[in-house]
Amino acid sequence: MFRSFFLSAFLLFSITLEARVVAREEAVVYLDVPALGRIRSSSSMVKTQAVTMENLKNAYVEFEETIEVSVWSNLSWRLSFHADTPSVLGPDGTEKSAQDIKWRLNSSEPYKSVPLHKTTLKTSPSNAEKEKVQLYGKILLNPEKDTPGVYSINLRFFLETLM
Amino acid sequence: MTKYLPFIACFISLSLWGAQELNVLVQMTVPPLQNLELSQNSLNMPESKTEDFDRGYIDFPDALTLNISSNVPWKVLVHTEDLTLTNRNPPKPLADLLWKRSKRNRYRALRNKTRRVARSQNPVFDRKIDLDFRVLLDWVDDSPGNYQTTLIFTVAGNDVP
Repeated sequence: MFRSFFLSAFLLFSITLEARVVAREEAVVYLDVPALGRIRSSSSMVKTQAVTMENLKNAYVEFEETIEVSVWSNLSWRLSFHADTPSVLGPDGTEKSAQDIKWRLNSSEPYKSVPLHKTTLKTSPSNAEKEKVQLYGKILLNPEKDTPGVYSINLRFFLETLM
Repeated sequence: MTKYLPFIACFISLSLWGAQELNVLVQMTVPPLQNLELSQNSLNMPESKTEDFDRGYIDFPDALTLNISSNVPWKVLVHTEDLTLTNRNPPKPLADLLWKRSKRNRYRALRNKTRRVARSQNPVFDRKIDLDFRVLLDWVDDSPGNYQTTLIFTVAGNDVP
């Protein structure tokens, strides 16, 4: 009887010990990856070729180089842009319509006028790592109205995620 | 509730990212530009006849067209570096060659000093100016031969003296 009592006590103690050994604590690791996006351009300023008499005859001058916008995004994305002002500012307070600035994404498509309101340039269902979007541009010339001087306009680009 | 925390955190993160913006300045420089083209580089006056000598001159209307482009106020000048109308003897005076803008009345004598043909304060592109020529003829002074001179046309800014 006494022996049975000690055996039972030992077993109960063992079970208790065993129970302590199998008890667990869980720690969940959460990794918070936010939606991230970034755009950069190869240059903050793009100039046209030097305007010549030949350009006046052709009534346009092309950008010296393309506007190259690089996109980084960990979501599908949309790149859009518009002209900052409705006019290209010229010398002595002169103005020229922003619509005189034409753009296209590749040489096989026709030129379009630079929009005054946010307009999609490119969308992508995929993430992007330094995906380059190249914009070819030209400016229409009016030889009788475009007096000598410097003309400039700001183009604003936007990158948004597509949820 | 805790199991939704990651989604809430993610939602907050997504909401925090608005649009990324970038500005690119487009710049164009238009320099002062001027161009002058002539419809032809050689003018052959019509052959003189007796009635031209009787009248005292021969006309060559719309003989030459100047084509002017300028994005600044401009003027077109003409002169010659020759002293006479020929290398032969006797020489024919420069003043025997007259010119005028077509549809205008008064002829002007050619000189070896510049004379203004036209000017404007406004930029022009492909502006055409037709010129008429007249050569004075005289039975006594103008012996048979080939007479010639080179006309020099210049386009310049209106501020050029």
